[in-house]
Amino acid sequence: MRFLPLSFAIAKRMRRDLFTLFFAILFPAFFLLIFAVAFGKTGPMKNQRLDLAVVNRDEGLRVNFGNGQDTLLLGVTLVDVLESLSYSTSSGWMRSDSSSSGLTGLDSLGLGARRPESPVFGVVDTLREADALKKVSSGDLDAVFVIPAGFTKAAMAMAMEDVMGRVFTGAMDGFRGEAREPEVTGRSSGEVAGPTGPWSGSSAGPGVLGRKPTVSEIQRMIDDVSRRLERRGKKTGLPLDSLSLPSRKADPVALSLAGDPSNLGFTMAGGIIRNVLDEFLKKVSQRSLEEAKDFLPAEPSAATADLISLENSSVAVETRTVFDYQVPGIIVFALLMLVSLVSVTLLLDLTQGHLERLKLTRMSSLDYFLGNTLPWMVLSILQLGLLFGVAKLLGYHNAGGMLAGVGLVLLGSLSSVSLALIVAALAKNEKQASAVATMIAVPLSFLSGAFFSVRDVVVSRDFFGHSLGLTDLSPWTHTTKALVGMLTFGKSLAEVRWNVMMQVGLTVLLLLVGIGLFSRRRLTAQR
Amino acid sequence: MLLTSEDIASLSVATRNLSKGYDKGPLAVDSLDLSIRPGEVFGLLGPNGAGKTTTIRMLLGLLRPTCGQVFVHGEEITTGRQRVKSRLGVCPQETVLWPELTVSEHLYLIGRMYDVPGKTLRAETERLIGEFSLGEKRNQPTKRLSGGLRRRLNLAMALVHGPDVIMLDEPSAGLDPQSRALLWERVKQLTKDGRRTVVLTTHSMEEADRLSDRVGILDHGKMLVLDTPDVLKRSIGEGDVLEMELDRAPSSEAMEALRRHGRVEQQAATATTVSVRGLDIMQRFPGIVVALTSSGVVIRGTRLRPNTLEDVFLKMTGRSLRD
Ligand SMILES: Nc1ncnc2c1ncn2[C@@H]1O[C@H](COP(=O)(O)OP(=O)(O)OP(=O)(O)O)[C@@H](O)[C@H]1O
Ligand SMILES: [Mg+2]
Repeated sequence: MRFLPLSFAIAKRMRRDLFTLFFAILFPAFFLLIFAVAFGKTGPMKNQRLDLAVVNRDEGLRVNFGNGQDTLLLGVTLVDVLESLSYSTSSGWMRSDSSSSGLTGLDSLGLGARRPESPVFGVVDTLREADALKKVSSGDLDAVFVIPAGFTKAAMAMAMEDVMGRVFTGAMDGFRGEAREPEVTGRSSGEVAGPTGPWSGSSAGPGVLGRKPTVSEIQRMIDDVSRRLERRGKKTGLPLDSLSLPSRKADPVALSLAGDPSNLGFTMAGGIIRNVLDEFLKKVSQRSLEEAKDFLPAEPSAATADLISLENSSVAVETRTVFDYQVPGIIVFALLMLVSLVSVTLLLDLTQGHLERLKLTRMSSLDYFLGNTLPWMVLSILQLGLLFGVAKLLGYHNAGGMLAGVGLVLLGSLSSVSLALIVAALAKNEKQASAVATMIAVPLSFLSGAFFSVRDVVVSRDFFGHSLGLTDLSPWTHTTKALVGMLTFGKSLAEVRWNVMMQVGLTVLLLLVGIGLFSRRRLTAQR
Repeated sequence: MLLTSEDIASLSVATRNLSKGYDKGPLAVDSLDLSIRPGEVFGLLGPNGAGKTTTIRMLLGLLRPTCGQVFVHGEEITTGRQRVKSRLGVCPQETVLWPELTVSEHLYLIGRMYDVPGKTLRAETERLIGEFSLGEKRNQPTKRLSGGLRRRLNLAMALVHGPDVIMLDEPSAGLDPQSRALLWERVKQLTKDGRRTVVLTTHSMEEADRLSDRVGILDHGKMLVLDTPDVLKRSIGEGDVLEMELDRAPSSEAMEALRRHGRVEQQAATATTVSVRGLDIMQRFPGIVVALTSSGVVIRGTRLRPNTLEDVFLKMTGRSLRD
């Protein structure tokens, strides 16, 4: 335990330079203040256009409208909706709790593209997914959205399952005699296929079954419904395939959204598209239901199985401001500021002869390292408390508690001290150390996503099942990501374990290099 | 002189062909062969820039020799430093203190760094604080200490872990006469039982003369002479001065006879005061007496001013200033 008295000595020295220390601790807090004022309320992302490549492979569904055969292409409609989305002027979309209230454009679903004044998405239509992905890597695009071949089929199957489910529920209710019977022999609906879209303008009134059916009647009734629907479908434009194919037979399809998870734009695109998709599918069901109203009971049925899922947008988009992403970043920035402070104290040890005096004793390099690290670790925890508190006051929406960050911050301070060791091993004097440390730490804070997410250069697409970017080589990147996960989104340690593992691995690496270099250059006999 | 490995193991400090050249300039230490025995106080003398501190830093393993080897208790210092570290105590030429730590915190810190067990360390700290009269300032941060007190603390820090090879680089620099007397007493006491060894550099010839069993005079990195102070004083320099008060001025024959014994000076004013200067003059005292009395001169009184180490030093290193 030789390092403890050493830590004590260092802590006492830190006290001497209270001004520097005070400044060092408060400086990131000032950053918080500035960032909160700048980005806390509506965020800089407001009205920022998200660049999206859409690969629309949707093959559509052949349907028989009243005026002939046609192909229903819901994929095109979805793209139109995305293109027509715009930021509402009253508030940024991120502030709105309901998915659609801050967005206009969803209401225009099915009405075709209307060029908005401040569009949410800059949509590029392409069929070359690989090229588009490259552009994501190079940062030219925020995301690539792929609509698969079976999109319309699946969407319609979902809608039809909804319809069939309701019809069936109605029939069963009629069998039990508990509810209003569904109308089997209903009237036909009015005009179909108006000029604005395939489903608009239909209206239907409710009908009555009349009497309680027997079991064999139920069977007959289902057959009958199917037959009638089939006949109606030919007449009114309901897709035949979907009706004859129960949805379970339809292959589930996945829409994919690919992008760099550290890019805030990608995260935002994911959240928006998910909301749009939900709304879109709801509308498709709604239209189908309107078409099939003749056969339906008044009460809606249970939710249908999800045949359509949006992949890759696992990052939650809740009520978050950009500031909420930045708070963990500022904490990491504060950790990186340590590099300069620590390397200067290490250099002072060297130039003032303390290191040489200690070299005469039995002190080992590990003692020296631990002795120097401990006070800074304590300091970084204090700083975490301060920054967290200030951030809270400034309106930080955190889902996780401050304590969740303690381990990550300790680990981060270890990385910073390791880097400081490397700087101190190479620098000639305090001035040089301070300059070099700043020159390294500031770009590193940017690269590690402390201030905003960085468009990354992909190093490996499959590194133990994760995509690895250039910035992933910095342990602080993982500190930032893990802190965003745990503090801002309240994720568990298990959920951010990849980042934690990377952080541990990279820190150990840095530590070994740091201790090795410092011992070789500073703790052996001078040449 | 070649040392066998048994010799090396029995010596506290030994060097073989030890040399150090810094980037620029000639060798700062040039082919040094030292053999310092347990119980010995070894005085390393030399003008500024002679290479004393460089030598000590190599003996401690802080500085890598350009060539040659250092052995401390038989351990080659570059490979076995860890094993002999706790047996080495150092008072560096430049006082290195932590300005914010108090006197007792310093002793505690250094003691703990040498793994001195708590109880022993507390006792030793108390003893050293008492011995070096630091008690009044024990809880003062060292930035508030006077220069001399810092030097005393620097010395105490060399001893806190009970080393048996102690290197003191100009320990008396900046000390008042009382402190210096204390230091001298302490050094003698340290080596009294023949177990400990002290290597000492100093610019005080008096100190070297009083304390050292042997002294080596270093200049331009080379060891010019190395012997006991007595031998050096007898053999090097202008020699002792024998001053005699005579009843009358001696005859020219008597003066001639005196000149055979040494350099003769006659005080012009009184002519009855004659001094003879030469190495180891007391050996010649009977001859001088005969030379004077045979010519009828009566010696009223004599005064001997012996050769000093300073004379030896100046003779060896010259009078010009060093840079
Ligand atoms: N770090 C260094 N780099 C280059 N030259 C050095 C260095 N340290 C000492 N020297 C040179 O080595 C020579 C011996 O220096 P050293 O400090 O050993 O002298 P010293 O005998 O201790 O002198 P002093 O009595 O002034 O303390 C000097 O010429 C000095 O200029
Ligand atoms: Mg010196």
